[in-house]
Amino acid sequence: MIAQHAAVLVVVLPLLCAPLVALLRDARIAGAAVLIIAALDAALATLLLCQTLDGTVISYALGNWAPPIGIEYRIDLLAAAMACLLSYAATLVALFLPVSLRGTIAPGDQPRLFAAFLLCLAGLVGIVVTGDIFNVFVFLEISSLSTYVLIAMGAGADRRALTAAFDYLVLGATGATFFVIGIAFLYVVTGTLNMADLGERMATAPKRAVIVGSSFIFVGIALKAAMLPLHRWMPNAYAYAPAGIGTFLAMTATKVSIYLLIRMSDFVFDTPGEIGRVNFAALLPPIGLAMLVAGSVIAVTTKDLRRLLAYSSIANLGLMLVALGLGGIAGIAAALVNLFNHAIIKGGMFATTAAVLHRRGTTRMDALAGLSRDMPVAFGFLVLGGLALIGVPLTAGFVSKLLVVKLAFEQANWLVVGGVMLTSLITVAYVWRIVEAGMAAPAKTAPRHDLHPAFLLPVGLLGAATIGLGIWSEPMLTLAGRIAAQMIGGAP
Amino acid sequence: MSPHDLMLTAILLPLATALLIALTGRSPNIREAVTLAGAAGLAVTVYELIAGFDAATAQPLVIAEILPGFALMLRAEPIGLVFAGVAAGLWGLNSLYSIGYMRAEHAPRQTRFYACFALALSAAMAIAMAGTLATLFVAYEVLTLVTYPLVVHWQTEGAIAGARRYLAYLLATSLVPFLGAILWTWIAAGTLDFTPGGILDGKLGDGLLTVLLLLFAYGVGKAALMPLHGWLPAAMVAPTPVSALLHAVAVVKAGVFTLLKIAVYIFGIDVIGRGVGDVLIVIAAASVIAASVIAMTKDDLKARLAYSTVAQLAMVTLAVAIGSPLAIGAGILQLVMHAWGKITLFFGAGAIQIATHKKKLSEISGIGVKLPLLMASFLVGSLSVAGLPPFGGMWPKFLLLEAASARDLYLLVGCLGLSTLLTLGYLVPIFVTAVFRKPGEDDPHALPEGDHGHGDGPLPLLALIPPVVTAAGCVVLFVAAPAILRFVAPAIGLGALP
Repeated sequence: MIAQHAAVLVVVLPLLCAPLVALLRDARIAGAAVLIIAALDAALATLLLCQTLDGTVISYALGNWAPPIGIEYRIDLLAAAMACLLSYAATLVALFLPVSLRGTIAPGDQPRLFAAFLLCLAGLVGIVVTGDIFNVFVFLEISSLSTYVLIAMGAGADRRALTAAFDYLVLGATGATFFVIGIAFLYVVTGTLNMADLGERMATAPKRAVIVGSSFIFVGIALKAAMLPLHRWMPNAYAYAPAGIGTFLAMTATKVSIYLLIRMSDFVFDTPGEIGRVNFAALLPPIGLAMLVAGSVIAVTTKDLRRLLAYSSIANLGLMLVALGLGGIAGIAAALVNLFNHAIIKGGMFATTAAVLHRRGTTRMDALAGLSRDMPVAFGFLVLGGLALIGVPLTAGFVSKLLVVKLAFEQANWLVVGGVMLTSLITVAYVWRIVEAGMAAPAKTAPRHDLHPAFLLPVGLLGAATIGLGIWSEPMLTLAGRIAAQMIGGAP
Repeated sequence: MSPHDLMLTAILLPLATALLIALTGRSPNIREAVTLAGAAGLAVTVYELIAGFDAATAQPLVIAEILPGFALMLRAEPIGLVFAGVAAGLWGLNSLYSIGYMRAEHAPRQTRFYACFALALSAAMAIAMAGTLATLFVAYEVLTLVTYPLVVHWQTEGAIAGARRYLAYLLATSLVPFLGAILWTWIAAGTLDFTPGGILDGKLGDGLLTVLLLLFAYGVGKAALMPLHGWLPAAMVAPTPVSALLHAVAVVKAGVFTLLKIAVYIFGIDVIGRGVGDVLIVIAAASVIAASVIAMTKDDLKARLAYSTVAQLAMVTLAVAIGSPLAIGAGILQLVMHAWGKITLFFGAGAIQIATHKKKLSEISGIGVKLPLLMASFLVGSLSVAGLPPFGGMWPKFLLLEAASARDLYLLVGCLGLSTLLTLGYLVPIFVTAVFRKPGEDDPHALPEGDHGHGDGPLPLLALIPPVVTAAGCVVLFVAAPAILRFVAPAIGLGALP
């Protein structure tokens, strides 16, 4: 029964549990409940992954209304893998979320934050499993609205969280509006909202409306993906959200936008040479390179560790866009490897940062002094993550970068080769700022406790994955290759 | 044990030693015993590997495949075994010296120091056994990173700045030109395996091969080819034992060893010899002379030795660029001889510092009276590095001259002669000043005897024995050099010995 309905349960479970968690009085019980729900969701997502691993596509008609009339949940390997990423990230974050909130948010308010967290998870998972483009918009709104709330809740620790939330509210709402306008255009000319159906009817649809519609959708996704120059909301949102939430957002929020880009490139974007369509793929390498350079350069100058990591994320998103732009099965596979690896690397770093924040109350660069002596384990994991960002061999980051550079090399795209390799050097500069800040002479008052035990498991797992996937990358490469092949081959 | 087990042991034993060192950090005596036991074990392992080496039966050992075609693979071959032998052999001596030095200096963070040392040896062994360029690159990067804590050891502002420079040079060169050259090779040749005779012949034109060779020569920043040598003097902020092992043996030798491997197994000696290496000959020869001249101007002993290292490393690069079996043989011998000679000199400089708290040439007048045995070893090391008989250092210089004249490069012959004179010119004055000058002579700032703030400590025995042993080693190597050449001769296609 569960196996049969897993496709819908994976969304419904967190969605329905969210209001129940909000009603709980005891923050500790609520925290435990979130962990259990997220873990169950992860189990469901794993089940979906197992079911789709051989290439089957699960089509689940909601309420037994057959598609394209009813809403279809359509789970292929990409959707299942993304659902896994999202629910695993939620589970890992749920492990330390209650600890990281201690002292910044009153226990009475915490259940509501947990509820918003579950809603956010439900929204993000919904985006990846649904096969209906309007449904994507609905889930996008669910996840965005809950994200605004989550970011604003960081105000207990830092009042700047309020402006960060407001910025994101304005830009996110704009993005969603663009997205829904785009959907409207496509709906008018095709008469369907089912994505597979849409793809088939696009070929015969009036071309001008398709161009306008897909442009609107592209801009909407670009905002959500923090594409340059629409990235303004992102660093502050990551930096001032409550520590655990920042970790979750860094692992998931922009990744889902990249997912949308890949999903829609099948039928909305990217058909180079075909008159009447816009070749969005051609836009991606220049935008990606610009993000790569700008994100890295700004990261060198930031004064706060979390902002540094956020700008570094912009650079890494740039790398994914570059890979997507290189095109073909190999390009999509490289982008996906980058996506998953980066979620793991950056998740580990943000989780470690949350642990530092929990001990020290701040993540300003100059407040990191003495970290190597006082919190050697945390420092070690930060350095490990940093090395992975640079792309040092034996870390997942090396595999990600090498895939992109090799692909560009084979296509003789020297701009990409040079850009990616040279930005590695800027990455060295900002990663070594962390190292040197941590080695600086410590303040006498700094507490000498290492990571809170609650952080050990998530930080340790993500760190182990960073190294593990850097040495045995084969499972990840196979998965990404299969997904990419399915995306290209299964294109309508 | 089978050769495979021995190779794995050579890499894993230092790794295990590092772990044990970290665990036993609370009691220094046990920790040091672990280091020495690890060093002894490694020396035995590498000896077994060398003694049991048989080119006919050497099989590759695949560990993991990072990307399809980018495999981590180990394979023993003569040049790598020579490098492994040098590094493993000197680790024990260096550890003895480290114990004497670090205790005399009351250095902090000694557990980290010994652990990172062991890790560096593990990386050096992986470089030595690497069966593909990919493996070598991975180990090369690991070596850079695990030596960073050693260079930054004192964690003063100066040390952090010096270590930053060290890291910036080495990571920047390896992440852009080196990795770029590896990718280029990979795509052009379709493989990264070290193959006798090379994998690039016919895959790229000679012009492109010249560019590729230059990319490698500068990408391997550890070889410190001018003008990318700046990290080496900067890294001298490290404690002297670090400078000794890492900047006379493991790190810089890993650099030139990488170049030798690339020349022999990626390009092929003949390919380089037919003109691909000509540009590099000029650069390397200029680097030899320029670094020697700069060394003469340095007052700080370690800085002088650092520039001397730059010059002597360029000699190996030169050997690579000439591209004949004889020159490669000279390069391999230079790798061995310079390691033993230069480590003697670094031991000496460090011992002078422990015994007299003096670091500069202008301050050491007359100290030779107190340290006769040390200064005698120093002289032996100096003469060996310069290339005089009866010391090991003579052989590489001699063979290099032969190789140069065999290709009718008479200007190069002149350069090599000049370099020997320059080497004598910057190394012998240290000995002369220390032994024949009277204290205070030529030094207006000299203080009367016994007026130092901290007083002169006695030289610990552990800081004296290693330089004496390595100096003796320079003499032994003079006799042993033909045996080393015979060992590597099949791999580099060297026929009858001269």
